Amino acid sequence: MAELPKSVLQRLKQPRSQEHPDANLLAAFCEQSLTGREREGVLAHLATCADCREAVALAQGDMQQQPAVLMLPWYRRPQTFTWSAVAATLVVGAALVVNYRDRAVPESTRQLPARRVTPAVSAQQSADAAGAAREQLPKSNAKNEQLASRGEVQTEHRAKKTPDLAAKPQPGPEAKDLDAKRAGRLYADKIQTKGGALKDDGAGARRDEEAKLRTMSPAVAASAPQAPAASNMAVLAKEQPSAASTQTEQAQAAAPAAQKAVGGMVSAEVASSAQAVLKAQKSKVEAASRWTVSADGQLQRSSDSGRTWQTVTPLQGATFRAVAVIGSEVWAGGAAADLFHSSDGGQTWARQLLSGSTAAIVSLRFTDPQHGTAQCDDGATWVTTDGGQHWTKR
Amino acid sequence: MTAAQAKSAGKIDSVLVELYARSKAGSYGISAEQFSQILARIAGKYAPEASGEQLRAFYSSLRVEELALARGCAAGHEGAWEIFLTRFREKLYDAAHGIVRDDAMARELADGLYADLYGTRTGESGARVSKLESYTGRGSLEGWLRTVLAQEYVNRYRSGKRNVSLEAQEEAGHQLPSPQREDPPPPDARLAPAIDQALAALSAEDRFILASYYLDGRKLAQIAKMLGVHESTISRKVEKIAASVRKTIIEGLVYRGMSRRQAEEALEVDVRDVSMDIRSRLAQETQGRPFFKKESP
Repeated sequence: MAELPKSVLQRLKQPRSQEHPDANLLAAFCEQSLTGREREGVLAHLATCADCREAVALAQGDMQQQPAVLMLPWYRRPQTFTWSAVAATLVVGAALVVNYRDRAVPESTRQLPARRVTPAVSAQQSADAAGAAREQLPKSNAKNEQLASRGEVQTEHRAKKTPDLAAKPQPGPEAKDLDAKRAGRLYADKIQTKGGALKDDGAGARRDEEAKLRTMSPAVAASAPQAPAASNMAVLAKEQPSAASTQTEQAQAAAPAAQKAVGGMVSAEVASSAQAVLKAQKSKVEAASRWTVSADGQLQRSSDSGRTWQTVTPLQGATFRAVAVIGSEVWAGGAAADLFHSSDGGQTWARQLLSGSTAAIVSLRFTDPQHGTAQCDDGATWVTTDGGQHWTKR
Repeated sequence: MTAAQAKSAGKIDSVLVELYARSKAGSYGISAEQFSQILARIAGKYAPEASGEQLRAFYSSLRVEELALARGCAAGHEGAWEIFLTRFREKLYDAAHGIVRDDAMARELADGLYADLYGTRTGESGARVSKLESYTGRGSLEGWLRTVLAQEYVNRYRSGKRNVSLEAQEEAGHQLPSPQREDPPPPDARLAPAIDQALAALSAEDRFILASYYLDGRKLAQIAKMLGVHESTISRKVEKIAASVRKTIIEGLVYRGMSRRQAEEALEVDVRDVSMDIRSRLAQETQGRPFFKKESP
């Protein structure tokens, strides 16, 4: 390591600040919970006071630093690990069933993982799935009607492996994995039918529908009958309460068709109209949900295209300066490197860290849910390639 | 009061109500009004100019549960003390042991702090004075206790080191400062202002890193932990800061009339001299002011 001239070290030792910071400030400094200006002040003193540096070093010792905010990022929460293990077990068990499921029930009622936005199947594969589903129609229709009458909708719709399918290009490993996870989610998030309108009873459907719509390929959408799309609209409505009434009405109006079509009846007219409805709904939902930061640093969301705004508070007292949105993925950044992420349109938030930074975040840009940049007011630029779980200073 | 002020005051009141409920201060015998006064005093100390949204944010950043517990203990509430001892007794001894590494000294250090926390001293009014009164909730209570312990240890060591035998100091691994000698005059009168200018251009964090590394001899990992960054970050910073300081000094000397070669030679002489003199300089002089005064009974 480079040496410093002794004359420099001599000048470095010149004490400037006479007043020691109290133990409260030093403890808060150790725990990274001071404001930017306070931290600068404490550092300025520590730079010239060997006693305080010694005290801080001794106080830290082996202490596990307590976070300033008790909320852990989602990937560090113990519940995440527990539920991940349960979901993984279900996925493995359901994976065997997934490949033999009837593809008749349309794509639109499947649930996608919030972060992995990947088209499930190609156009050819979805058409094959629809064809196979038609072959299986009587059995699956009866089965699904039975399920529907019980208030459950079978969302696992991959067709059984038929000779035709076997000869066709199979979905890639990622798509298969995705479908397996969808099957797993079936058991975790039940969807109940009520009066024809689908009512989302689990967080998964609410969180995932938006991402699903965004990534649905036209062919997949074309294979989806109108009714599940209508029910899908009702599910989406839950995420945007102010728009729910309109969307629920649409779902209810389409309910009879949903009941009939849940078995997998697909016609060209229904498919094309479903596609149009889905596109319209997608743009409606995305247009309806807007985010902004007010002049006084409050994070705000509008569910009615900006007519009215509601304040969203990831952390009490936090001041925001930037927000970025991709579907239901929302990132909000502000003073003192405060950065929060929601994968469910603002229902729940997890804190993300720009390690070692206390500068205010003034700009956030995401090109997709994984890749983004954050600009701070100290000129630093941070990048992430995993949706904000980890940030690297450029 | 304008409507905006009234609205702001109302919002702060609602925050105070929420914080009071969250703190469970009522179970420690602290009324809502008392709790509000406590928070107001803390805000007056750390955020005297804050108002409205800033004040709400400040209040919300405080560790109100631990604050209420500490103030309950300071007031002598038995229930508060039971909870405090359950949660922090062992941690305090562990922290003292981590600081001192000697069982007897650690116990003495911890017991001494316990006495201060309980309040064996009385103030002018005759009321017991507890050190827990000074806890403000800016950081965790555990962190505050560790910091107070550390400050007490540094105070004791600094005040008591003259009375410790040389053998004891050597066993403890303390470097004995070599006899102070006269500072040699700088090779050139232009060097000092150039150095001051270079150091003044550094941020507080950079100066802290330099002092910790070059003056205290701390390891990169220790410094990284103090700043909450990765060790490699500190390693890069030390190199970068040292190079930056050197470059700024040379530019300053050139600006003051030296040639670049003269400026570099002036620094080279200083560097060669570093190894001979650095250890004697590591015993940094202090102001002799303790972190806190102990009130005499």
